[in-house]
Amino acid sequence: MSEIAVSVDSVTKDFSAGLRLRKVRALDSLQLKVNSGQIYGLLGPNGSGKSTLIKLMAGLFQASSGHIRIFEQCAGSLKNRTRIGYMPDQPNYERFLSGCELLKFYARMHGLPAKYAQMRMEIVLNLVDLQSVKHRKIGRYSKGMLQRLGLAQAMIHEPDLLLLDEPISGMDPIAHEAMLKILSELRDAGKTIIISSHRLDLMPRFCDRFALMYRGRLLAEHFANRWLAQTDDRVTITGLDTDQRAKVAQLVAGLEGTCLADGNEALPNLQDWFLQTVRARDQL
Amino acid sequence: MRTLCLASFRSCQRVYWLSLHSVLEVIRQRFFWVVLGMILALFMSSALLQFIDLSDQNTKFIADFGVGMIQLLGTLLVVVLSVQLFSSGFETGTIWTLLSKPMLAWEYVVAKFCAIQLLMLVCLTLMSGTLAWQLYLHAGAADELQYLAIVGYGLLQWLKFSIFSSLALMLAALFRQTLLAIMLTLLCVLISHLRVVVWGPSSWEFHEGASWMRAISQCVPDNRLFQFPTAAFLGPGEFPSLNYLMLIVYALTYCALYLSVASWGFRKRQLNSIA
Repeated sequence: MSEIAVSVDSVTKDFSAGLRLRKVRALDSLQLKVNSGQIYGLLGPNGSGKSTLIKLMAGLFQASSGHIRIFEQCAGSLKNRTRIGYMPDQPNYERFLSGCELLKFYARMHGLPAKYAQMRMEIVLNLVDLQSVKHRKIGRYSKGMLQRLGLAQAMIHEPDLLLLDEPISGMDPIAHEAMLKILSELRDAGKTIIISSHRLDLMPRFCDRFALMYRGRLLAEHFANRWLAQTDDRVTITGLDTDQRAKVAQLVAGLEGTCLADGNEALPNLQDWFLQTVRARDQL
Repeated sequence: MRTLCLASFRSCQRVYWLSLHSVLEVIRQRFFWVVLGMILALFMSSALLQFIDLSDQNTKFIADFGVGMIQLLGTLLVVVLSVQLFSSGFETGTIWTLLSKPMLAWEYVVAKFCAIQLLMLVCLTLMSGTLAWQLYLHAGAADELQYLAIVGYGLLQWLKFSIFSSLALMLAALFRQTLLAIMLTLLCVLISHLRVVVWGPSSWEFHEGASWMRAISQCVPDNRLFQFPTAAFLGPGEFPSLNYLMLIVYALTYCALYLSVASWGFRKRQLNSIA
């Protein structure tokens, strides 16, 4: 059985908002565990508490109640931060620096010796394919480049756990395919990755396990392969003429628990399931 | 013991890198150079005074003008620079990446403070240097100019600005709005100039609120301690006899106090920010 990388135990987070310091609950008694060497997806719509949870794990916020333990230690401790790589949801980096200078600065903040920092910088720049623009000022980077730079700075010190907040938002299909490929490689290298996204269509195919969040609560938790097995037991046959179609229909009718769907009929997916569950919950 | 030494060394390293980073942040902004250029242009404008006949008061006038400029522009520069440098991370959102690194709240505050001190040292050197140059050009007897007094005055102002800078950092850490923090700091600077009102006249002695006012006024430093007459620049035998060691301890005490509150405020603000 693999080691538990992150354990979230009854975590609640309240923020004070407005002049009256009204309490806003961002997370409500959340409980989950993430095994090491996995890609774990935190899915849900905007405002569901994904970013807050990731920031709590990174030690940027303090939980109002409950505990978060990362590799058996309290989240936010200095020792833990050396094992964590965090990529924020907004790719805001110092525009006055070049990509190369930014990575060097963060490497130094992690206490990496100069030579090792230089070596790591070359490795991560190659990995995220920013080698050619490393001397360009960050202010002149595109959104996709900034996202990749965000991943590079998170990996500069070779962390065991990567906390990635919306890493593929605003990316074009080619860029996010490349990003997901990099993350798969990192998972294969034994890294634990927690990734938040509101792309319900994409994440289950990519994560090992995912949690669905809504209004600060955990709605459901699934193993991606089991979910896909539930929803992906479909076969598409094309190019049938009328006779062949009648034969297939006859065959399908003889198989218990199967049905023949029209080609235009939308098949149930995670997004539909999520919307149905949320609507049912809101009506309660 | 070894672990403690290693942790302290790493802290110092992080403060060093973050300070350099902050200095770079300022000097790569066009705004800083524009402000610095304007300050130096104002100093140079005192050269125009050679066309005005102030008889023997000409040099004294230039010295007063220069000192006034150092105090006014230096105060504005240090307050705006401190608040802006502290808050920029929150405004641009770069702070979240930085805070996920192994860094403590006090390291961030102290690094910003060190960066501001370095920048102010450069600015004050330029301002004092320009003042000395102007005095050299205008003084009838250049040999009598007390360069050491000008250097001493510049260092004294640097010490005073270090208190203002830590005060600005504290208020920036406690209040989210940049403009509010700047206004409050300038108000505190004004109070530090007006401490003489509370402590000076004997008519206050029997006033009911005098003791309270005096207690509150202790929260800001006494600006008068860091002044000496400009006559000291212009002739020998006028060098002011200040207790410099006492002034350094005085400034360091205020800085330590303000920076401690700033670190506490920063940590509190960070942990309770809206995601």
